[in-house]
Amino acid sequence: MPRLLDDLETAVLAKLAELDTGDGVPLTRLAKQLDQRVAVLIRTFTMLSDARLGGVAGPGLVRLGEDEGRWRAWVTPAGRAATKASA
Amino acid sequence: MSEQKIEFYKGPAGGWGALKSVAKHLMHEGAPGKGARTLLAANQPDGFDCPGCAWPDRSHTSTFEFCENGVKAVASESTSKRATPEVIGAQTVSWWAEQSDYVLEQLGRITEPMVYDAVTDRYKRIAWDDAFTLVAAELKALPDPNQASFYTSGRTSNEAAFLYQLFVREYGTNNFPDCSNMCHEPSGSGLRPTIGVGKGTVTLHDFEKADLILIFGQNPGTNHPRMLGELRDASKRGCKIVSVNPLRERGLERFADPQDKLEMATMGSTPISSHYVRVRIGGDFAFIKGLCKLVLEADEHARLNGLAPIVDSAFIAEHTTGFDAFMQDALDEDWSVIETESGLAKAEIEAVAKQYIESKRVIACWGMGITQHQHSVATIQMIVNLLMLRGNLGREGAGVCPVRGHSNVQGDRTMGINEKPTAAFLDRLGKVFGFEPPRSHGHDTVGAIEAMLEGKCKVFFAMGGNFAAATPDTLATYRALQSCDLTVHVATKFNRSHVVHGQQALLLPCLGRTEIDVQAAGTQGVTVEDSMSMVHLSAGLNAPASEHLLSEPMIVARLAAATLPHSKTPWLDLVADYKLIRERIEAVFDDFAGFNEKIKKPGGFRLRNTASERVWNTPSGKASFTAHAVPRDTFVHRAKASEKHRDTVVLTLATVRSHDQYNTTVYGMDDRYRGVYGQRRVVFINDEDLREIGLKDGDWVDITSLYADGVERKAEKFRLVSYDIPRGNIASYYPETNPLVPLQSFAIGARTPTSKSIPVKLTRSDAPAA
Repeated sequence: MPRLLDDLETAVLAKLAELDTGDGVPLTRLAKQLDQRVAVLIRTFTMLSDARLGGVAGPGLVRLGEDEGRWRAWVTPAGRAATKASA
Repeated sequence: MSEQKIEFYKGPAGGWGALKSVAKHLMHEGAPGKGARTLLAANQPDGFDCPGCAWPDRSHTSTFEFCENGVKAVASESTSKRATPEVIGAQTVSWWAEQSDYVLEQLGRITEPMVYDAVTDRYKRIAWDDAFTLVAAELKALPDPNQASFYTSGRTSNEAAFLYQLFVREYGTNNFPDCSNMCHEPSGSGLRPTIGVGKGTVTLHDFEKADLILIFGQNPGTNHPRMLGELRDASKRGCKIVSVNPLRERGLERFADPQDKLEMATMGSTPISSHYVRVRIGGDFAFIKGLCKLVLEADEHARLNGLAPIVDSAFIAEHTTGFDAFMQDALDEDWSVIETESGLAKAEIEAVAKQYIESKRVIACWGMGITQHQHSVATIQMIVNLLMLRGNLGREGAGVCPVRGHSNVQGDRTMGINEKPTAAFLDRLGKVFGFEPPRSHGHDTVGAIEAMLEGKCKVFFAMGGNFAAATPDTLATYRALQSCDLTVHVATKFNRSHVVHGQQALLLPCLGRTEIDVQAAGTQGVTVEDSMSMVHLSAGLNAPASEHLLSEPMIVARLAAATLPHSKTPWLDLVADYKLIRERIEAVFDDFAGFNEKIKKPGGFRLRNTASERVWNTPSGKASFTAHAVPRDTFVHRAKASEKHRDTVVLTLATVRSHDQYNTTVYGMDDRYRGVYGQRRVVFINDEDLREIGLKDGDWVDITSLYADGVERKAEKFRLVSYDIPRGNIASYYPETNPLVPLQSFAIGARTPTSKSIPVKLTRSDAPAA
């Protein structure tokens, strides 16, 4: 059973889904929009990605990566669906 | 790897050279995106504490709070390379033992627990449960718990260290060799009896207020690059900086801050040292005593002539003891002895004394260049004497600043990683956890090696680090480790200590500082204490390098649960939520009252430092002046006397780090600021010494140390490099030169190996085969 997202994760995912039109969103822009430090965002995105943490695979709602030297986050189809479901 | 060359480095420390190096190391580790992304969270309030040095964090206003060497540490941890059981098991351990430290480091992150298979001479996969069962069985089978030693690296978090010392003491021993034994032990040993605190007294705020900063035996450009930010700011506002160091080091001369756009755009830089004192290796004590003598003489002169006194008599009267004896001893010291032993002319010492006398607020910093000598404890006490003469302790802008190495080396000691625990601490620990801790003192690092060699220690457990490469007398240390029944290493990367092992050996891979730690109660953070006693939270943000990694607290808890079935400590419950560990820490240490609350504040909190309040926790209730004679019977003096009739040119060797190195970890083969590229087997030597021994720059030599214990200790095949270093002094990298230091050559009163003053001779050698 997928784990429940906490408030921060829900807010971060919603903002990412709102801003990501397919090209991803720079972490620095998200940090400004959400008034969060980049460190918090990176940790949150890692938790929302498909990375295995504590022996359990993550939900795969986002993807972190690099594009032209800028660090970006993308929302996955599963992430978009989760956002719609919680809206 | 760089092409081998020796090429003078013209640039400042930091600057574009540092940025280029950052990019190179991130690329090399295959982690340009992840590594760089990770760096945005280094030393930030919600991020992780850099796994490198223990220099404090600023107020977190900068986006970037890391340095070139922090990047190397982070890149190394965030590497995409993996040392799986298949990778390590592809070769025999004997084959790996022939490879360089750099090659071992480059294998990448260890992904699963592994056990040594003596039949095939290879490491192979083992399940965690089986690994814990194996260690527990060996520990329980020992007839005496004191036949096990438990080493701690300075990277270990407070939570892991606290559980670890608890487990070891419940098991029944105080055998806690640690990396502090090899670095700042003399700082604690020197400071505690004189000012009542074994730690530095200053904060970064004091650096903003000081008029004069004295830097003894320290190379911040390589070892604590973030300290250059404080020194640069101090220099810009007119604070004088006096660097006392045998080698000319670029980081003590000029620094370009990579975050300063103007400085970077104009290729500009800021001078660091206003005065650079080229003391001879081990000559600091005589130099500092000379300063004290000059201050006292100036005070005498001022008082006789009705001028303002130089010495702070009010401070001395109210806060100190032993002044009269110290004053007499210092005034009686012979200038010829001071000049000979310091390697400095009186006029040069007078110039620094003038700056000291003219300054109202003075900080004294020091590193391994002070501590790794036979008389390091006395030297540190002489620094305290100098500061106390003018009341430079316990007030704004003044105090002592031993600059610690690894990121939590100070915190580990605070948590009880100490082979000589106080009775009060043991009483409290026993009361909180319901057991009777062992009372007899345990082994330090030298003691642990000796015990292994004597067959008195059969199990060696290391919480991180690289014991075989960090310790002196390499061949003896190797024999010691190989004589153990079991060696166990908790580690993130493969290193020398894993290929110099006991009959049985285990590698237990742990999470790195940059990685998310998920336990039953959710994601966890750990705490660390920096060089200035600030305790703060560190939480990772990357996915672990492997799903099989355990956190260090979890490794300790599971090992304890397997070894101590009747323990009253709820080991596995504690690691479900590290807040519970911190509650126990709070129960044992009064200074940690409100621990879980206090660390919610960005930057954490400062542990009480009584000396910085002019409260002296000494038997007399006062700070103590300590009189010491200038050392004239060191191992170097003895070697020179015994070799005189042979006309041997006896040189004093200091072991140093290269710029691409942090402690024993070799991230690369360059030492940019000293102009060395693609190689490590070099000896820095004065031109005149080259001429005297009939050799020239580029020649190859073997180094033999000169001790009277009848053991020949030799390190072979080093290339001579002409360098700006005082006559009679040479320098070379460790761990390559560790074999030259006998176990029995250590600091009086601290037992820290004397790796900074090794009497040696050089003999011509052939160039190594290509």
